Amino acid sequence: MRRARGGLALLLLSLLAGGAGAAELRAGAVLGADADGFLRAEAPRPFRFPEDHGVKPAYRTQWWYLTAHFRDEAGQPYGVQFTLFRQGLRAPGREAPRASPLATEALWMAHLALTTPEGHAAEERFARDALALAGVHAAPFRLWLDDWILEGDGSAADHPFPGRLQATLRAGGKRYRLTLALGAARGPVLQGEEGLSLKSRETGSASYYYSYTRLPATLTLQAEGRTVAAEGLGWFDREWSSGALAPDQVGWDWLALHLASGHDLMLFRLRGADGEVAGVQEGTLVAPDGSQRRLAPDAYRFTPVPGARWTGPHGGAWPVRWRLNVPALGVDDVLSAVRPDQHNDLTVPYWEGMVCFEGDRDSCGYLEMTGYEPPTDGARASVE
Amino acid sequence: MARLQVDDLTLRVGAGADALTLFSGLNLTLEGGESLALTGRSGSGKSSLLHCLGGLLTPQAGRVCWTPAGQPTVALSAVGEGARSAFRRRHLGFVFQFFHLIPTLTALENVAFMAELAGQDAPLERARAMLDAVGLGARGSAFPETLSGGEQQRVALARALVHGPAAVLADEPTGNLDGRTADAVAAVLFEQVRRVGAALILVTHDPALAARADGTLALGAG
Amino acid sequence: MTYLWRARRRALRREPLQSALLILSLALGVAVVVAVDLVNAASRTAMASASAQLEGFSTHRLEGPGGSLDLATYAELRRAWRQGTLLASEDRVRGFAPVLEGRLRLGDGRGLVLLGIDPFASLQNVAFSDAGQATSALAWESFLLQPGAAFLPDGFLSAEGLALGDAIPVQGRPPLTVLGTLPGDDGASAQPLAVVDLATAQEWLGVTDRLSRIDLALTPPATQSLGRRALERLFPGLLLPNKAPPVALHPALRARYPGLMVRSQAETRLALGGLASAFQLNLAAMGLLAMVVGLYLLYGALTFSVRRRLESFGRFRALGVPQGQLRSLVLREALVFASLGALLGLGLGRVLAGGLLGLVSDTLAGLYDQVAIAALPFDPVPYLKGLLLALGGAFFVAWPLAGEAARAPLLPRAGRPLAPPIRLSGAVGLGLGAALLLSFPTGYLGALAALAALLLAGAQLVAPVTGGLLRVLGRLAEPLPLGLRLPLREASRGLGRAQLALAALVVALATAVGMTIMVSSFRLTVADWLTERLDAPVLVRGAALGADRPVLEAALHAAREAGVVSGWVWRQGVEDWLEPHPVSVVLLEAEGRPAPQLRLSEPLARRLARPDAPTLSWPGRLDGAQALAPFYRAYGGGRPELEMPRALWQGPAPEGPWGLAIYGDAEVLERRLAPILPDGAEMLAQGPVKARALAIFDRTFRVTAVLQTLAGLVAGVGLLSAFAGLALDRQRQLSALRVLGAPRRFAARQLLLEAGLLASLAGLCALPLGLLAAWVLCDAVNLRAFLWTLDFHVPAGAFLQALALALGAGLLAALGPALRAALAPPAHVLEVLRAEG
Repeated sequence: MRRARGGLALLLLSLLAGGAGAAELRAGAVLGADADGFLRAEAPRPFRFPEDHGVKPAYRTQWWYLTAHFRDEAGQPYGVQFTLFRQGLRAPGREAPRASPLATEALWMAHLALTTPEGHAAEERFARDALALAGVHAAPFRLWLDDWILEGDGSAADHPFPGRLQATLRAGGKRYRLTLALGAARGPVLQGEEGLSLKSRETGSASYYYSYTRLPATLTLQAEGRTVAAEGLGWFDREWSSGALAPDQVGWDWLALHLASGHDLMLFRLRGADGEVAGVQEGTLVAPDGSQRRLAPDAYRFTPVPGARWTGPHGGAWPVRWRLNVPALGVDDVLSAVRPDQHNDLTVPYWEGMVCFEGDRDSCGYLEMTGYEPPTDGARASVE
Repeated sequence: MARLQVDDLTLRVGAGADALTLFSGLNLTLEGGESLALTGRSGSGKSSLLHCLGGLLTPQAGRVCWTPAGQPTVALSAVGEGARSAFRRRHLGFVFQFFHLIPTLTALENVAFMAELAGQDAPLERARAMLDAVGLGARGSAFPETLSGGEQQRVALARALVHGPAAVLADEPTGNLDGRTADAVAAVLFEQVRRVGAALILVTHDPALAARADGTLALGAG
Repeated sequence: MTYLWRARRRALRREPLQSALLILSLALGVAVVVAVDLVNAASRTAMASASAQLEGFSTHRLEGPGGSLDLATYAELRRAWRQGTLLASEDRVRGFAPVLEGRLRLGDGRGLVLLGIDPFASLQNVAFSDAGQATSALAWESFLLQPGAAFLPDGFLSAEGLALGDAIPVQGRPPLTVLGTLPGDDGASAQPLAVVDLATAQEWLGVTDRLSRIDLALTPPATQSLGRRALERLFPGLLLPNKAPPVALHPALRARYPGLMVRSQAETRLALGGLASAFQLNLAAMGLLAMVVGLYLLYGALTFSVRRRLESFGRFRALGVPQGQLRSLVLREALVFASLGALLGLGLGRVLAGGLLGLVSDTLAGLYDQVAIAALPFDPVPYLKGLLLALGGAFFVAWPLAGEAARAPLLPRAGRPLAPPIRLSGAVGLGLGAALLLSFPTGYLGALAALAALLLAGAQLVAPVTGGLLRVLGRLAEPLPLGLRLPLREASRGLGRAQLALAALVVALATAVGMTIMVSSFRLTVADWLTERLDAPVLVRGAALGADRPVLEAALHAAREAGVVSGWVWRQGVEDWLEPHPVSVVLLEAEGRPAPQLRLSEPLARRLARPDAPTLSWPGRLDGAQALAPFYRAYGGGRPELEMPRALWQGPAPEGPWGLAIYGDAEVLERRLAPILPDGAEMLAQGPVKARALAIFDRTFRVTAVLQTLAGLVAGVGLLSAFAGLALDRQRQLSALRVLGAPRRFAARQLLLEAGLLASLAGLCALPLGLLAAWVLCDAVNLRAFLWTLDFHVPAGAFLQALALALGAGLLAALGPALRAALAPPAHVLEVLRAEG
């Protein structure tokens, strides 16, 4: 186990904070409440595709977030999460360009996580913003960090999909080769108020956020000499911002759900130390015909089921069963994780995994939770 | 009462052409507290005989058998070094011509050392008593270098007797002392040996000293 | 038993000088061993720590030709790593970190190692503070964003009095800024090292298109056998580092990048310091020698003491003291002396190590790129080793003597000089053993063992040889007056008592002579070598030299016309692989100079086990079998080298740095060349370079000189004791002569003459032995350990110096007793005569 890298962890925490929240936010003091020359997401703006798929260096934090859940022929669940983060360290143009081609003003980080019936594995990689080690091309769409590549096949001019993800995950001494074939998607769906997703009324911090909510997906997984094929649905988020969280926000819960009825539901809520909503909660419902509407906070209930907690390796109590009630859809069921240990024990640990309705196994999605760990001075994980 | 029996003792020294037979076919018996003086010219082998009797030299032929009071007989010439060494410290006492006390032990310690070596209990008490007996009770804490020749020899005598040996072997005990001192030491020697009841075999070239013994064995040519 | 021991204790206390001298000699021996071990261990720790700061957790490095790697190659290698196709064997790569390393000059001219790293991939011990304080996140950002931000070792910052935020002036560049201390730093090293971001490194080193290497962490880490690790711990410096089995690149990569190589970090470290290893080996050998001399003296003193008391042991046996008790008495005495000596020695050793530290640190600084030792680490092993050596050695030495005491004759014998039997068989046996070790390939350890055997054999022969010399002298001295013949006779008799001390002196002297000759030979050879290698008055280097070649050529030709320049040689280095060795190839093109030839350096030639081969085949690099000129000497350590005319090279186009050696009139050359050199080219006058190299060499061996002196001291102390004993023996005789009317001075003169004679003869014996030792050191130890040969050279004064030393030691040792004899008042004289023996 390598020694903890507190500074790096803080930086990464701030990265997540800029988007949606984080624990222990002295990073807020570090980065300053103001954005140091970065643009802030303050007002709705027209979205242009494919340009907006690409990198926006003027904003501090951004990511491209793919999750997908599958079932193989035997009905066994498989889940894949692939995220590429970009954290700007300095707003572009503030300093004269440097002579070294290795000089970087941003940090790229990618997470790849895989859930199988046997377990959950996650890998983390870093790259500096130089030598095209990592990046995103808007058109033709191509997103990569080293040999983890997500690219569109070009058939849909303005969209990343149909496309394919190819990656190899190395964790616990094993290697998994993944190929995800993604079909034409539903979207893009602008979240929040025409794409402006507010995170904190106090600080006014918000992000620009859109999603491709329903991607038909096929998984081919090779590991230890075996090949698994599975089918399912994926979800792709793209978000960028420069803000930070309010001091009372310790974490968030985010859900992307594919209902068997053909609806897609996105919910997130920021949480305070008491476990209750602190500030903002958002919801978006996409109908089978592609129309979308925002859900007001009183239009649904999304709460953890008491007593159903999984204890993480660092002492957090992660709720792995949630009650979801959306009267408008006639939905009232408990979402439970297909495995409780879908915890990414990386530099900044968080929980991200496949969840399904207990009453309807065909309605599945991805749940992300952060901030359930007791506060620490920096993170613990090793970096490979 | 101790007993010494010597049968057919033959001793040669040197080797080859220089070999010299000191004595051969020697027979000797000593009982109880008898004293025997060995006399002869220098080189006649009297010291060597003494050494044979004490198990310090191995004869070419013959036997030397000691029977300490109440103990089994030990054929000193026939047993190994370990047994001889044990016999010497338990049952024999030695007095040398040049005293040969340990210079860095006091008079008392010199005597106590022997008692301890012989495995006796309360060695210091015994030593003190022995020193008193030879008239040096007051000089117990003196080192040999501060004692006169006569005093040193008396300490040596105490050392030879403290463990109640069967016999005392003395090699020219007065050889290094002047006339008056020699007499005094000789007197103490015989007196104490008789008191302890040990046999005494002494080598001397002094006729007066030899006369004090119960018997004399003259060694010479043949 | 108690009485016997009590008596012995008191007897010893009555001879305080003898006892003290014995304890002192043993203590010195132990002190030297402990000091050497401590210092060697500290050096290794400092070097390991410095290496760790440069290498961190990495076990191997991936290097390109010319010691560099261009960025495109890096990106591709990185992808290969991610896909698991970096190495030929199964994928063992745990970590992959690009590094750019170079050297800057601080404001005051000292070197500073600049290490550029990628913190996201770091395998170095560059782990920023655990405490998630705001400053560390800021430091992180500044590291990446702020040009010139650097982390430095704590030891260096303290030594320089630098604080956070301070600027570090650098020649030719903007200053660096202190961002913080380098944690993971154990404080053992105070080397000038600045850890910066790759971008800063590129900018400060002026190379924006390349990296130095990629550090790799491979699993499993190289493990050494437990036995070997224990040996290295016990004898630091004596064992040269092992080589790990080679790791190869994936064949596809190897085909595309033939100059790429995977080397282990340990191998790199070894390569850095051939001289450093030689230095450490020296120290370790000196340490053991001092110990041997000390034990030898203990043996001598014990032998003398036991033999002197043989009669009294006999009497004890007569009284009936069992043999076991007598044996224990002797052993106990030996162990008491050994313990006291050892304890004193441990303390002295620590003090000595502290004193040596500065010297050693200086040496390392010269050899190892300014590695500096911050302090002596606490390590119990050298102390334990010293203690065990002393006690074990004493036991080993005392055991046969205890046997002698136990078997002491029961009866007094007529007075006979108690000379120990001369065991010629022992000397012959040792000599044969040495010959065997030298004839067979037993490695450098075998050669060292042979050296020890030869010295011991020589020690055995001191007595008979000196005795023989005395007899010869005795006959030659017939016509001399009796006053001068007497010491000669007495010396023959005194030989018995003094022979062990003299033997110890001979061993110490012989070693000193041998070492002196070796060092002088080494120095001369290195100086010759440097002169030959640095024969050009001017050497030009620079990153852009190759690119500017045509322009330079034209200028040089012009200069030649003008008579300023007589010739020049272009050199370019390529790092390659001549199976199974990584090598440095130097490609030469000469103009106006003798044509260069294909030659191997000596260490390479020997490594290939073909020092005299006439041709070299190297598929892919040479066309067929090329004629080989005789090998050339090389002493720098580092990668084995070979050189060839550039035209012969068939391998891939080299990309390494260029060098240009220019010949001509040294005086005007520099001046006239300066204007025609391109920007960024550096001109070096070879004279100062050579001087600096020799200075480093001298410093390296200065420590040896110190230790030699100490070993000599040990022997000297032994002599003191022996000659004091001699005087005691003569006391009665000289006192009688005093009473008969001889003047005071007579006694003193006698003693001094006797001592001087013995010591000089011993010194004479030391000379051939020393010569032999030197030969073994030069031709066997050095050759086998480092694969280089030295030209044998005996410095003019070496022998005279040794003789003078011996004579001086002897006279000094006898001075005390002589004065005492001279100054004894008449009353004391009579006293002596009266005392009984």
